[in-house]
Amino acid sequence: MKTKHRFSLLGLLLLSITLHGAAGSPAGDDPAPVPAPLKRMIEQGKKIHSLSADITETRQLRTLSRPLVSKGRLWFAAPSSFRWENGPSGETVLIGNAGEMFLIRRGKEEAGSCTRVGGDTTPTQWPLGIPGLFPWDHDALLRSFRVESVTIRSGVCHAEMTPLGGGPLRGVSSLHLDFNAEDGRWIRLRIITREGSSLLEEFSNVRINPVIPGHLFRTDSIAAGKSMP
Amino acid sequence: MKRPILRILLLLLAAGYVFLGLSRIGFNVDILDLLPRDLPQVKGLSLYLRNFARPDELIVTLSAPGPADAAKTGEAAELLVRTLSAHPETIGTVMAEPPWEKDPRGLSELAAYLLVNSPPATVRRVTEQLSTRQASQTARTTFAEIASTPSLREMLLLGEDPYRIIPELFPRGLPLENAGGGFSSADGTFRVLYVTPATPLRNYRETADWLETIRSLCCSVPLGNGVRIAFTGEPAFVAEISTSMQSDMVLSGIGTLMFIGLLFWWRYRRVAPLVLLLLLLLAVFLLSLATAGFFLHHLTAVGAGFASVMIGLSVDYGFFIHERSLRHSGGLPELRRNCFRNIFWTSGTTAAAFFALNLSSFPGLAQFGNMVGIGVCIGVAVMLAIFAPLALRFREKDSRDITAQDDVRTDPARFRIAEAAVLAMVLLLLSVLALKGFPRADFSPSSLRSDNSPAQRALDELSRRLGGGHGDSLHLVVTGADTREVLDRLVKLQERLKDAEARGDLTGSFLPLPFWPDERNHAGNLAELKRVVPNLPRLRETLLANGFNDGSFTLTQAIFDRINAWKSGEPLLLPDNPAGRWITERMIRPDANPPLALGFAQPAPGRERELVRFLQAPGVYAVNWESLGRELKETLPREMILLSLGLAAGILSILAFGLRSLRAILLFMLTTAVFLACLAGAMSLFGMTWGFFNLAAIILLLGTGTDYGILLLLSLRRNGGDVPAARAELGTVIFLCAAAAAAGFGSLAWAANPGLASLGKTCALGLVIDALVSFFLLPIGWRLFFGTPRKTVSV
Repeated sequence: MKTKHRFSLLGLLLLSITLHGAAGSPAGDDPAPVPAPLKRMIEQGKKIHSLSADITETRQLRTLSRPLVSKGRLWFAAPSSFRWENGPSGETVLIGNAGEMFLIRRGKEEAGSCTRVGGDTTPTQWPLGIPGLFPWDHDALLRSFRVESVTIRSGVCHAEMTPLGGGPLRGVSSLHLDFNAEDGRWIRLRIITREGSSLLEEFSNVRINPVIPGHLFRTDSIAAGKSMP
Repeated sequence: MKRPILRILLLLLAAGYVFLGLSRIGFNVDILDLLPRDLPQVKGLSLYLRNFARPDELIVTLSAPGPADAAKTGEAAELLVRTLSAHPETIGTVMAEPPWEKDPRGLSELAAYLLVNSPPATVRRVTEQLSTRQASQTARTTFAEIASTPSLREMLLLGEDPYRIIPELFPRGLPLENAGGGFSSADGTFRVLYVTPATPLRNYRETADWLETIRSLCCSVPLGNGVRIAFTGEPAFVAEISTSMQSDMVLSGIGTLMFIGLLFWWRYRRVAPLVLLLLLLLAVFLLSLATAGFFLHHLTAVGAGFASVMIGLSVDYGFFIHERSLRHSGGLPELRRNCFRNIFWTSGTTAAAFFALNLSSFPGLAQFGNMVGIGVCIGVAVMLAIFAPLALRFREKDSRDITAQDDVRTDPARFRIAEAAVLAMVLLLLSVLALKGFPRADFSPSSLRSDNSPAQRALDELSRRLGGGHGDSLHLVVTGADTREVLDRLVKLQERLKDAEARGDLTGSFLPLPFWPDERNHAGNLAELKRVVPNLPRLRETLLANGFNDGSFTLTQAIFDRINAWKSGEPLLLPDNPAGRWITERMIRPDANPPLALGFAQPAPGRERELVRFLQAPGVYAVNWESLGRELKETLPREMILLSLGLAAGILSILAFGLRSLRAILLFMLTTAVFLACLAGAMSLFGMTWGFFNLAAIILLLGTGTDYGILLLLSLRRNGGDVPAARAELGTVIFLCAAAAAAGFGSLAWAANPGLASLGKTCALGLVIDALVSFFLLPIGWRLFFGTPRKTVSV
C-alpha cells in the first residue's frame, strides 16, 4: 500500500501534464452553497486590488527526511499580476504578468537564468505553480474545490476544502485555509497532497491594497540582481 | 422431370442461395471505407483509427450540470465500477482512474524500457549522475531545487526521482497528451470510465448485445440527480451504426413497398397482381442482397441504402409488364418479346449508370452502384420470368377494362393546365436559381457523420471537456516496412517539426521517439546500466546522507531491478502490464503490420494547410477530419464532373444512333439542361447543399431520369410527332415509374447516414422534376423544333 502511494504521485504528475489543457475550465454556473464566514472572506477579497505579504514556507515531503523551511515574499495586483520570491535573497522568483509567466533563478555562481514557463497568468492556471494555490480568485477557488468544513476558533476561521476534479489539482488531497474571521486576512494555507506530502504557507506582514510599483511585475526588475524591499 | 417438381427444386435452390449469400454479409460501420482509399488523409486517418482507437474499448461518460454536483459524478463512477466489476462474465476490465495509480510497478517497468531504449548519450548522462563522483552532487542539486521550485508538480516529481532519470528521458517534459490519460475534467463534473468485454466481440450483433447489457447494468445504478450517462468509443459506434443501417434498409424498403402498393391500387385496383408484385419485389431484394454477399462481405452505410432504390426501380419493369399485359392480345412469348425490347433499353441505361459509379474513386458510391445495378438486373429477370406469365393469367381472368380510365387522363384540356403549371414551376425554380445562385457546397467532415448519433455527441463532449479544445491538432501517423524504417522516418519528422516550429507553423508537437524500439541501443545500454546495479546500496546511502529518506529511492530501485532482470541478448519487450500498455498502445504499434507510431502537432492559427503539406512525406501522414474535408473538396467535384460528362457523352452517342436526328438530340440536351437547372433552383429554394454523396445524384439522374425524355422522344418519333398519342402511350408508365423511383430514393431522406440521406433527397427531387419537365415540356419543344405532326398513328 505504501508503494502504491509513492507511485500514485508519479501517476498524478503524468496525468496533470496530460490534462494541462483542461485546467480550470469552468463547467457551469450554479455555485455550491458557501458557509457564511468564507462568503464574507470572499466578499472582502473582491475589494482587494493589491496585496503584499511575507511568507514562511514549510515543505514537508514524504520523500525527505526533514521539513524544508524558507522565507519569501509575495506581491499581487488584480487581476492577475504577481511576484513570488523564495529564499532569503529571493533566489527564485516567479513573475506573472501580461499573459506570461517567467521563472528566474539567481544562482550564486552564475548570472542566473530567466525562463518563460507559461503563457497564461490567469489565476485558474496558477496551480501549475505554488502561488496558484493561493485563494486569489475566490470564484475559481469555489469552482475547483468543495468546502468540507468551516470552523471558527479565537477569531480565526479554518476552512477545509477538497479538490473537485482532475487536472493540476488532481495531486492535491485537501486545502486548509486559516484567515481572520473579522477582516478576512489570510493567516496560513496548508496544501496536502494525495501521496502524503504537504506545503505550509504562513503569511505575516500582510498589507491590503498597498501601492505596488509596476516594474515589480517585470522581469527586467531582476536585472539589478536585487531583491525587492 | 415434371414442372411442379422443377418449381419446388428451383424454389429450394433460390432459398439456399439466399441463405448462403445472406450468411456471408455483415455491416461495415467505418465511414472512411466510403471514401477514396488512395487519398493521403483517408489513408492516414484509417491507419490512425484502426490502430490507435481501441476497437473493444467502450467509453462511458458521466457528466453533472454544475460544479456543485461534481461529487455526484465521482460517486456515480465508483458505483459503476463496483457494479460492472461484479459481472466478470461480461466485463473484462473497468477503469475509472489511470492504471498506473493501481499498478505502480508498471511505470517503473516503462521507465526501465525507455532508459534501455534511449540513445547511448542519455544513458551515459544517467550513469554519470549515478556515479560515485557525481551522485552526491546530483542529490544535493535536486534537494536545492525541491526547496526552491515554485512548481508543486516539479517539487513532488524530484522527490520521487532524485537522480533525475525521468527528466533525462524527457528533457522537454512528459508530453502525454496522446497517452489518453483523461479520466476526469478539472472541475470533476465530467468523468470517464473505460470498459472492455470479457471475451472478444466477433461481430456487430455481439457488440450490440454486449452494449445493451452494459446499458442495463448502468441503468440499475442510482447515478444521482442530474448526472447524465453516455456511451461512446468503437463498440458504441459499431452497435449504433449497424443498427441504424439495418433499420435504414428495412424501413426505407418497407416504406417504398407500401408506396408502390398504394400506387398500384390507385391505378389498377386489383389485389392478386398487387400481392404478387410485392412478393416478387421482396424476392428481388433478397436475391440481390444474397448475390452481393458472394462478392462483398461488408455492406457500408451507403450500400445499405440500395434496397429502396432498387425496389423503386425494379417495380418499373413490373408496372410496364402489367400495363402492357392489359392491352396485350397475343400469347406469353409475344408479351415477353415486346416488353423485353423496351425494358432492355431502359434497364440497360439505368444499370449502366449505377455500375458507372465504379469509375468513381469512392468505394461507398461504387458499392451502392453495384448493389442497385445487380438489383435492377435481377429485377428485370424476375419480372420477365415470373411476373409476365402471371400478369397475363390475371388479365385473362379479369373482365374489367382498365383502358377506359385513360380517356379521362388524356383529356387535352387537363394537359394544357398541367403544362402551364409545370411551365410556371420551371420559371419559378429558374428565377430562384438566378436570385439565390447554386446550392451551397458542404464538404465539412460533419456531413459524413450522423447529427443524431448519441455516440458522436458523447465523443464530441469528451473531446471538448478533456481535450482542452484542441480540436484542430493534427495526428502524425508514421509507418514503414519495418521498425527500422519507421524509426528513420520519425527522426526525419522530428527535424521537420523543428523547422516548422522555427517557421512559425507550429505551436507544439510530440513524437513518440523515446518509445519506439531502437534495437541498436539495447545491448550497449543494458550492459552499461547493469554496471550500476551493484552500486544501488551506495546510491541509497547517498540520498539518505543528503536529506532524503528511503521513499525517495523506490522508483530508482524498481527501475534497476527491472533492468537487472533482462538478460543480455534477450529481445527487449514493451511493458506488458496495464499501466505500461495503457501508455504505449496509444503511441506505438511496432508489432502491427505495418508498424506504426503516432504523434501530434498543434498548428499555429491559420497555418494548418501549410503544415500538412510541409510534414507530408512517404509513410508520414499529418491528418485530421478538417484536412480530410478539404482534400475531398478538392478531389470529388472534379471527379463527378468528369464522370457525368463521360456518361452524358455515352447517352448522346446512343441517342444519336437511336434517333438519328440532330434536332431531337438538341431537344434532349435542352430538356436535360432545364431539369438540372430546375433541380439546382429547387435545392437552393429548400436550403439543400451539395456534399460528398449527393454530387453522385447527377450521374444517377443522367442514367435513370433521362429515360423519361428518351422514351418520350422515341414514342414521338414512332407516332410521327403526335403528342397526345405519345402521352397516351407513356403517361401512365412514366408517372408510375417516376413516382416509384422517387419514393425509393425519397425514403432514404430519413437514413441515419447524412450522405445517403442527401443523395436520396436530391435524386427524389430530381426525378420528380425530370418526369414533369420531360412529360409536359418536352412535347412543347418537339412542336417548336419539328412543327405540326405529319401524320398521326394510333396507339
